[in-house]
Amino acid sequence: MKYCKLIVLILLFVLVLSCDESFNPYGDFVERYAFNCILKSDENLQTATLFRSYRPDGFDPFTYTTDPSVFNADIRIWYDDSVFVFKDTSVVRQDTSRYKTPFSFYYNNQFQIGNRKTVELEVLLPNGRRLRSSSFTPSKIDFEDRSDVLVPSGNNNFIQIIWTSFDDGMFFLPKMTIRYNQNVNGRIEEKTKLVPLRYLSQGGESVPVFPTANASLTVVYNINAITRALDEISEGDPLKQNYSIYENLSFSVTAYDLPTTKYISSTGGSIDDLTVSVDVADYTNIEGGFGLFGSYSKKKYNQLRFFQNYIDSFGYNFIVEN
Amino acid sequence: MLSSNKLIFKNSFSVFFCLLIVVLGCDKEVSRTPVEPPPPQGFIYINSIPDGFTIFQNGRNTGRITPDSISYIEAGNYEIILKKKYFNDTLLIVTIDENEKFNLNVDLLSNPSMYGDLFLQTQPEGAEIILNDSSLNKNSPLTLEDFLPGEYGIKFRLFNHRELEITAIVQSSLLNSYFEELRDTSAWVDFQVFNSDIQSNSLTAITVDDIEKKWIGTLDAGLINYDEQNFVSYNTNNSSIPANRINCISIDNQNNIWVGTDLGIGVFNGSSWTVYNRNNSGLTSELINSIKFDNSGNVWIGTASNLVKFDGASWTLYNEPSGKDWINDIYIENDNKLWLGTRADGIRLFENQAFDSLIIFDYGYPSNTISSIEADNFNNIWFCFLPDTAGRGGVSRWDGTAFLNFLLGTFDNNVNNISIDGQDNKWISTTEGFIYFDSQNNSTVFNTLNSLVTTDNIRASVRDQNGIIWVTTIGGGLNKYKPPN
Repeated sequence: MKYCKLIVLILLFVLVLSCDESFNPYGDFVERYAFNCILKSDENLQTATLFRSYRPDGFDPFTYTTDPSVFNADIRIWYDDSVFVFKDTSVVRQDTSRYKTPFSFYYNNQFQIGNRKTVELEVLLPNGRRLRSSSFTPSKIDFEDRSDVLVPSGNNNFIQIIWTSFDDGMFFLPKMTIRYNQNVNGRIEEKTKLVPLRYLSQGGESVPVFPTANASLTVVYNINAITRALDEISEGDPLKQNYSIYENLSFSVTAYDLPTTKYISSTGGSIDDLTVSVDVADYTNIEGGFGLFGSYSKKKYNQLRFFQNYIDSFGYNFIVEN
Repeated sequence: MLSSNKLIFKNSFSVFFCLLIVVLGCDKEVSRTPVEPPPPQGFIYINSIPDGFTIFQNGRNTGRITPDSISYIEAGNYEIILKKKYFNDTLLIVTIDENEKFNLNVDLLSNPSMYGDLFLQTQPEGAEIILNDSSLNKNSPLTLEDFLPGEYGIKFRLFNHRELEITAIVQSSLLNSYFEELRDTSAWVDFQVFNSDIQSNSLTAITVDDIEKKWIGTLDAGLINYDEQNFVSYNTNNSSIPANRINCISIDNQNNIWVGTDLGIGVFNGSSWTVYNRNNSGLTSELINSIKFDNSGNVWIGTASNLVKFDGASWTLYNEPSGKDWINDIYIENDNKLWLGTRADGIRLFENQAFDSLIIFDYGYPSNTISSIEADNFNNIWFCFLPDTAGRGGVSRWDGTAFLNFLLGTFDNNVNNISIDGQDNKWISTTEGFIYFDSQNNSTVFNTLNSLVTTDNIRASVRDQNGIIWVTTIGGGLNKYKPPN
């Protein structure tokens, strides 16, 4: 009996010691890669970024201030029976609050995408790893004839633009801007004013609501929002005659492809024309890494113009373009 | 005994239970990112002779050009195709073992099917063939065998024919044939925008200065100077010339070039321009049709609204009393007697400061619109006529008492200009071809059907000291005619 108790004690001792294991919350660091590129239809310059994950010393990630870009990668995009090779370059970083070293990116200025074309990506990293992806560029957008052409539009208190597209469920981002010249001490400066859909009252303040990417094939601008935007152009300046408004408004719709649409959906946020957040945690279509490879197609609507009387009512000059 | 067995069983069970706890107690579930296998290290270096071939890997364009490599690839079979414009495709199957570094050297020049043949033929035959600026010392027709595919600059050179330069393409495994017709330049040589540096094919007036430079007016490119080497244009973009449309050109005894335009007169002294228009001269019309010089140093100008005399300082306007003063051309018989060719008002005389008319009904010349006036070596005066409501196009000779009419071509033929050389040959420019009258007035017509003149729409001509006739055309550029001796 005494012998048995001794055995049990030894076993319990072994049990306690055998489970002792030093625990490292980091685990083994494995370098990962994030590639981001959204191909554009409205210009030849295509840009891409390629970053690697890193582990800072200590627990504060902000102690790591070196640009995590990966250099010397071989980035190729197959589009329309051609191969386009991206070159790397770097520019001085404007915002040095996070990283101190120059901002690096890859570019190719030889192509712009068309509609409904397959694009394929292969990134060969300097260590031999490959990232791959593919996408299908967005379909053409056609604006419908029943879209408004004049601002203001008859007795309506809104402006509506309607378009069609083959793509079902993709996201579209409308954008309306007013173009104007401002006479600043005799020098003419050309400027633009982004027009919100409407203004919302929040906590006693009026807050502009701008369009975000969504699947709708129409957009409606409140005429009061356009009036308010026109007012804001010269807000605080009594010399209204220093402002000249162009007859034609600038209106465009950006159509996103499926990966970009999914990305926007997953983040629930809006997206601008050029950049994608580096830490795309919610969605990736990059095989072998993270990030986003997508495309967008932008179509301008050239029919929208102001009534001269409407612009005159603000005291502004009116610029007619042929 | 039974109790002892029970005790043994109880103790054994306790030990087994404790061992089970030891085994199970250390079991932990820890989630970790799976470790990726290292990338494959397979590598193919592809070199070709010649280089510059696009590398396709398994049917896909890699965007790489030989010599280049495909790296970090897995073991296996790879279909490599080398492609280059004009060359046959070359297919290679490469098997790579794990982490193998493979060098693929392909000598495409050792493959006879890569080469092509080139057959060069000309009409007429016998042209010297120059390949990429080196003469082959061989004449057409010629077959060149086993040529490397590509583009070759070929020139054909044959006496009395325009040198022709082509780009010949040689493709693998093909007989690449070129048949070229060489333009005969034994009589006619053309200078057009597509085959020379001339700035326009629509030319109006032409004259030759005393150093044999040709001064050529255009409808759209200003004044052109041609020294038989280079065409130099003076236009509104690079000079002070009043307009790019030139109606007439004359050279004074100081070798100044006077051009009449729709916007006044430009005078070029070889380095700078002087412009006369309504703002700085006595001109009341800026549409200048004719500029001539008398022996007293006066400049006589025919405009769309009057006859003008410029003596170098002052301007004098002469208006015919009826007010019909559109003057197309002037011929100065002497300082006091000028022949005027008008638009729609027939032939007029300006003699001793007074106007007179030779009325068509009295003299029977072809029409009331005169385009050009010139005198022959026997002081006969030749008039060119354009069709109008009063009559048709043609030529008429005034011998001092009567007109002798030559009705050239169809009723609507515009007879634009006449020039008469030292042998009393008349060279007549019409819209239906170029017409030659010898001293006996025997005529020969040169048109696109029977000669190598570039168009039938001839505007003017001039003979240089070498006997060469320079012909301006509308649409066909400058033509050079070498009359037979």
